[in-house]
Amino acid sequence: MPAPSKNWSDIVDSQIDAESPIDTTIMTQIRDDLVFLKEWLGSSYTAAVDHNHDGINSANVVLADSTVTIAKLRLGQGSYSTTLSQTDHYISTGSAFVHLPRMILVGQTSTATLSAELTGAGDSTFHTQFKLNFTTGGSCAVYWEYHSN
Amino acid sequence: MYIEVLHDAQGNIAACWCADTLPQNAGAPFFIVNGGLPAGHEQARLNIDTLTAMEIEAASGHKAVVDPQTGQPKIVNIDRTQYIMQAFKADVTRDITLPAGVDLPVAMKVRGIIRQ
Repeated sequence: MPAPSKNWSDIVDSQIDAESPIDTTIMTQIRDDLVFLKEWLGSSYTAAVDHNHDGINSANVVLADSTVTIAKLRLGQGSYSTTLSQTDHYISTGSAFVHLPRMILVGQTSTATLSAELTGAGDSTFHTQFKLNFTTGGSCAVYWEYHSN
Repeated sequence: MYIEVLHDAQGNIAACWCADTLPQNAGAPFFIVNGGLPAGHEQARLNIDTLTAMEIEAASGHKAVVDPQTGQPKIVNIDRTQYIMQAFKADVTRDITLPAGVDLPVAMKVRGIIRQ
């Protein structure tokens, strides 16, 4: 943002008391202060009660790279648990953008493999699904996080 | 919280899917068991009330517990689906009428939830 074209001038009490004339000095100060305020607010933007930095009533806020942390993203959590072994489970993540999952097996002899895949046909968007091959064991749980916005 | 389960004729839950938000394609099953459902089993969405949802949320997540083996505190992570399978059953005694406008896979039912 460029600096305002007029400087700010403080108007002292002695300039506006009963004996002081309304001269070019005071009028110029008032004019310059108004210009300073207008340009400080953003002369090229539409005046509004609130500035929400939408690029119309005030400048957009541009975030520098790497300033948005995971904690500020809207993430959802999903999970799937089963005791049904000796089969494949196809698990919908419900979202187009999913973080890699983690899997927990319960039982000393439990075995399972987990993979992520996109399948489908035609003119469509396909969301990630997980394929859980739960071979044997007590139970198996899969957890994932996804972007819900 | 959206929940879909695979349960037997008594309502015991053999598989449970749970997520924070409704998937974009809510008219499709949230999970599929390869080769079809086991005999006597049914796949259903669960209808839960707010208090039950709060109970599930409160009971899941990272918890500090006392290890019965060592007597020392330790952190355990209890997932929502694990808690649901341990604490609840699908209520197979009654059918729930689906409100208008709710997407549900063909032939899939909505079940209530009862405590084990």
